[in-house]
Amino acid sequence: MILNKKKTGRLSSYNEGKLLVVCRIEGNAFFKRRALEMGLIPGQKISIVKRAPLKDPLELKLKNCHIALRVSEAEKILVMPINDGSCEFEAEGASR
Amino acid sequence: MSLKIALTGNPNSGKTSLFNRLTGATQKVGNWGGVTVELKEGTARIGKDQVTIIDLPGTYSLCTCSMDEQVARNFIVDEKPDVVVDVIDATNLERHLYLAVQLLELGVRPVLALNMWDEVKSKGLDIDINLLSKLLGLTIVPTNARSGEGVHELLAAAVRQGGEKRGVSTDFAVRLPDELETAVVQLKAEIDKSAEIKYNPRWLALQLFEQDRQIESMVKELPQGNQLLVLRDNLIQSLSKKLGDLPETFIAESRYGFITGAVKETVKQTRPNRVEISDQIDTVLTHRFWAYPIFILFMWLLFQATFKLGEYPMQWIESLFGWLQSIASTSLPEGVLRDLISDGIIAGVGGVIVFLPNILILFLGISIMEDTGYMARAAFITDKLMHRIGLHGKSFIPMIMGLGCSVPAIMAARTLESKKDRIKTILLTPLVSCSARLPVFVLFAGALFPQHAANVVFLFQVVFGFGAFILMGFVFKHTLFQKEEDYPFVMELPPYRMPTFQSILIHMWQKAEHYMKKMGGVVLVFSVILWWMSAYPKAPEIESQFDQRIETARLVHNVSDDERNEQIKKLASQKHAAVMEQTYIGRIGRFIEPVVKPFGSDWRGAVSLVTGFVAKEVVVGSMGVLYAVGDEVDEQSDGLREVIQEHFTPLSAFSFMLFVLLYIPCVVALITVIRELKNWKWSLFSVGYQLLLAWTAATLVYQVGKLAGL
Repeated sequence: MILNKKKTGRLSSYNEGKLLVVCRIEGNAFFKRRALEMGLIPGQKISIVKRAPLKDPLELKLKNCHIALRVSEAEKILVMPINDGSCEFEAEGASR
Repeated sequence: MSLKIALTGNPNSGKTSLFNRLTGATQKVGNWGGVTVELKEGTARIGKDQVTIIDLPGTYSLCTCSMDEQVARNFIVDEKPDVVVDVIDATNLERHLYLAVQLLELGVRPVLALNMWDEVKSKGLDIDINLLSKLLGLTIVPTNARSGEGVHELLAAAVRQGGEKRGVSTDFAVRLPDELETAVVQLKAEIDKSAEIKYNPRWLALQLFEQDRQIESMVKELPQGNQLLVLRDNLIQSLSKKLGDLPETFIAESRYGFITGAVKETVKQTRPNRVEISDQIDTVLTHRFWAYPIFILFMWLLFQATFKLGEYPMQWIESLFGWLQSIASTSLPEGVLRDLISDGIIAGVGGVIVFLPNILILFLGISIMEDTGYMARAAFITDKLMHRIGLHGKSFIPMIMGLGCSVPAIMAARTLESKKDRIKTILLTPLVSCSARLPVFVLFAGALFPQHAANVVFLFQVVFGFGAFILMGFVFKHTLFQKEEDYPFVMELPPYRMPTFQSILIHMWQKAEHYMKKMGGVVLVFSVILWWMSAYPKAPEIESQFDQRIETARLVHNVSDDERNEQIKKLASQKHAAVMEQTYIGRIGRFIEPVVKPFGSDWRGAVSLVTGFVAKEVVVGSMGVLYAVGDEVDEQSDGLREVIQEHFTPLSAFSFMLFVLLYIPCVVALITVIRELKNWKWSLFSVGYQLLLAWTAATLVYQVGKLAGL
């Protein structure tokens, strides 16, 4: 169940267009719950669509919808590039 | 008794459009005890029956992160509507079904409205409604709020379900990881022992595992509440160790797992999804270079429409009320009653209604921005700047509109979701210099800084106003709101859509109605009081004394006609000044003279400032009267400029202008602030901090300037 720490990275550090998978949400309860209910759950595929002109906030695409969040919030989302897929596998293993 | 139907759904699901379709012109603000947010309700007819429909705030879930979510959930739990209709964006089924699953967990069986059904087809999606209905065990009706398709069927389905005995079904549960399921069952068993809980026990157990604060504090009140919470904490701790994350993550995951399964079975993509038009629009509107010029253009248009276009109807309103005033004063016998009706009431009503064009046009613009989806983009591109001073991107609109008039600007703060952001924006918006302060700056700049008049006016109207906004934003961020947790920004960027005419009109109308009902009456009362204070007590002795002197002057023969008229005019002005000085407002001004002295003003300045509470531009007129120039002056009058030059130095004028910029807004704006804050402590704070800020800034400038030998 323990995530492969080497391969996960913070969402804020990835480039636009890269296909990612959510591994874990950190941060305070408020943020965590909002992120979860918007569909940012472990195993969810996401990608960064663009950054705002001042580089913050950024726009994500997931489940056919677009969501904006601040860079400080994106730092609290641990993700992994999809071709390194092990996080997705583990997250799936954890839920079922 | 008529059936009660509650409409719920995510923001951007078209819920409000659907509500408008269902209820049309029957909408009003409902009166629900204990509900802090105003809820709209309306009626719809089906056959002979009449049903009441309540529009709950749009929410993503039933957890209580925000006020809106709390209201929506508490309404469903406490008011127990006969039917809950969950409005769902059918093109975004997965995300929108999350709320439906939570409703099921609560024991409510919602009727699902799969809205925007037309877009489903155009996007090449194929949804098997029958199968989905079977999987969820719910009635599902495809609708299109825009065209009205399916709306009648939805209402019929809701009424049918309301007719059946609803009962609380406790059998719905999504499959959780085994360890978590065991823990939920354990906690639920404890909850079952307490008879006082009105919620569905399994749902309550889940909410406790999700650490919902409102539920926690409710449980704490129960006899065995603390025991429950201790058990919960222990379970969470051991679960987190076993599962590697907090239970709430797995609960959300399991709900989505269930939904994904259902969607996979029922939704097919019949042809590949092409690049959406919405994304193409976005490449321009949030473009790295073009985003800001376009945004500024839209803001400029909104501003021009609101205040420049709004000027015409405002002039009509003003002349209409001027005409009514003249009718009243010619047709009524002279006396207190005539003054009250003409100068008090008619002028007061006019003073309320005159803001309507601004409010209507601004909210027309805001509705269009919100309904098209541009509002979210505006927040997206400005958030970085606004967040520096602890505000949200959406605070941008109140800030800019504040340049025109604080009243609609403060009302525009309603677009903010979080209470904290709303309070902060309302506290700060009056600092932005509204157009009514402009005449004061023009007068003083013209009189004492004639070479740099335009620059000085710009400095006060734009630089200092926004400067104060930003500065106080910083101060509040690091003092008052320091401990507050940041409300998550996480915001949906909905696809661009054409707004419907009906929705925009209804939204506009509701704002105007809100303004007239909530503020109109209070403003009128205050206007009458202020009028009375500026007209009374009368001083017949002083008046007759001056009248005599005027008569005497009229009889003087050894001067030219011009000189005589000059003398008479001067006496008349002095009479005005003397009369004003001993009215209540004049006395207050006299009384507070010690307060204005430290920034170099005298009692006349003080009186003008007090009258400025009626409306900021009144300061200029009052000065005209008080310095005995006459009452027909404006900021361009040479006579007034000359006396200002006599009585003020550049330094004291600068300080006075600073005070006018920062001190309390006019009475209408102040009442708007109070009504929108809905909290006496914050309202008092708003008045207090502005007065203190104005006084400190003006005094500091004056005293430091004097020390520097200016």
